[in-house]
Parts: sequence; C-alpha cells; structure tokens
Amino acid sequence: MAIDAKQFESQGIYQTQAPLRSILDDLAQLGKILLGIKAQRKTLRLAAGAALLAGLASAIAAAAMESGVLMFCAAAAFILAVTLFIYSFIYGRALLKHQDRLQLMQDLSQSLIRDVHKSAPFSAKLVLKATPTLIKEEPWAARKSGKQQFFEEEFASLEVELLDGTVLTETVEELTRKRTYRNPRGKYKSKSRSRYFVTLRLGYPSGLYGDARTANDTLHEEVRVPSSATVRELRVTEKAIVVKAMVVLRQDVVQSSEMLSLGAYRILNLARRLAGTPGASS
Amino acid sequence: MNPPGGKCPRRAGFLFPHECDRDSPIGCRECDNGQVADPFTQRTDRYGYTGYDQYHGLGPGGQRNPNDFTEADGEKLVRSRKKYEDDMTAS
Repeated sequence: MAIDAKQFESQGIYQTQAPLRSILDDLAQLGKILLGIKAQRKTLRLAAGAALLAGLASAIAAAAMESGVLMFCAAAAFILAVTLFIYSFIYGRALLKHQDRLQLMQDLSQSLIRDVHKSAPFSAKLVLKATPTLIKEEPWAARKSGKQQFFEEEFASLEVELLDGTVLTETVEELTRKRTYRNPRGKYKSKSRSRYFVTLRLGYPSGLYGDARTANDTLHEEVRVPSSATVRELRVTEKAIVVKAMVVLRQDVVQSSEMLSLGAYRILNLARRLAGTPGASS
Repeated sequence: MNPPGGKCPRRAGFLFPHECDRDSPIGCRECDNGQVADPFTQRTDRYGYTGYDQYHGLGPGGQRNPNDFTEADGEKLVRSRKKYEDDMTAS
C-alpha cells in the first residue's frame, strides 16, 4: 500500500488494516521516509555551510571594494546560513526522536508471523510523533521547587486473528515521569524517565479451548518475563486472557511481549488438552 | 519429504501447534529441511521455556496427579520456627 509521505510527516501516525506482508512493506517504506528526512537535514546543513562561505566571500569582497550591495549580500547570506542551520535541527525532529518505535513495530509484527495466516488482516497503529497525555502532576518534595509530572502515551497497537481463531490485541504504552527542580545555582533542571507498559488480550474461541480458567487454576504457573520486566496482571476469564507487564528497558519490550504470549498460551494449550479438542489448523 | 500433493505432516507454530502450510520441507527453517520431526515441540527460541509443550505433574488429559506435591503443599508442610528475637516474652 502506498503511503502518503506528506501526511505521515505532518501527523506522524501510521494506521492501517492489511495483511502482515503489506504492513511490513509499509513499515519498510516508513523507514525510507525517515532516511529521506535524515538526508534532507544533512542537505540543509550543507546548504547552511555554503551560505556561510558565500557570506564570508561577500564580506571580504565588500570590504575590499567598499561596496554596499556586497555588504547587503553578505548579511543576507549570514542570516540564511543561521536560519538553515537552525531549521535543519527542527525539520523532522519529532519523527526522528521516536524512530526506534518503527523498529519495535516491525519486530512485534514479525514475531506473530509464525502463528497467523498469510492473508490474515492486521489492524496496526503506530505513533511516531509523541502526543503524551498528562495524567498526574504533583510537587516533588525531595528538591527545592520540585515538581513531577506523569505522562502516558499509547504508541503502538496491533490486532490480528491467529490461526486458532484467537484474536490477539496488543498495545504498548510509554509512561514518562518528568521531574523539574531548581538546583543550588538557581537553574531549572528537568529529568525524564520512561517505562513501557505492554498489554496483551487474547480473546480465545471457547469451542477449541473451553474455559481457560480451569487450566489456569490447574497450572498455577507464573508468566515469565525478562529481568527488566514485571508482570502486573494476569486475568483469565471464560472468554479471554489479559496479561500486562511493566518493562524498564525499551530493548526488552519485544521479548517481554513474546514471553507474555508464551505464558498465556501455556494456559491455553493446557485448556485445549482439558477440553479434549485437537490442535488448530491452518 | 511430504506425501505427493500433500501438505507437510509436521506440527509447526510458536505459541500453539498448527499444521505447516508449506508444500515442501526444502528451505524450511522450522523443521530444518525436514530434519526436525516435531518443530513445535523442539523449538529453541522460546527464551526460558524448555519443554514448552510439557506439563509436569499433570496427566495426559491435563489433570494433576493427586499424589504429587506442589510448591504450595511444600509450604504447608513447613512449620515456621519461632526465633528468639521474635519471642517478646523471653527475658
């Protein structure tokens, strides 16, 4: 599917419903758009350098020839150089700041390839331009004039029907704590820390798995996650399994997601045995 | 090799076992060109999960053997010993 590059650059959101292969192609295309933005930023800096050199040459020539026109050109070239240099940092900054989210989305989608039909439609949403929501603000007593704010932002979500008929819904949220304070020299400082909240919901077909609550009660097994992650919730109902984890390191989000799925399917695979139904077919 | 005109009889899958949708094991990374008999069970990329398809202490139907002890049973068998520091009546 062709992506509207202009729209993506202005909104920073990719949202679609398509087969996995098409989504992976789109994500690769988004990667190319980001590379294009990087190249354009470099071009802007080179243009700024060229304008600076032209300004210097005009200034020298203006001094030698005592020409007012050349002096005006030199001033204009300097202004242009500074403007281009500053703009090169502003242009595409919001998208590039969170370019790692693109890789995360690719990895999350890729990890499901082993258990979905080739033509199964995925619903995918990826937000590269950060739009965090302030959820709490309070004074931070540990520092002078201290204040802390808590933000949340759901930046990636996926929904797909797996080969066994289970509907997997996955969301990744970034939770940020921003602390602002005044240091002894009177300067305002701010520090931010991010955590990732991964939520998986598996709406399973009761015809195949029966009631997974029985399997969960029988199994009594903890869902495994990487050392930087903590399971926050495991809820099993007669229709779905919901499992949530808090992940400290960004690079562990994909592994945490896969391990949460594996943990949930330990329950479902046992439920299928208890229900006495055969495995899923493709 | 697969039966002529038939699908691969091996169990594939990462989360749950399902039929393999390939027509030939040649070039298949799941069964390593037909070398692995049960790719679902013998996967090695499930992080800390070994024996993912096995449920120790559970019968073939998934029922727990009543004679098996669980961790919870083990805790019940241990009687906590009162330590000297916890005994406030001691002099």
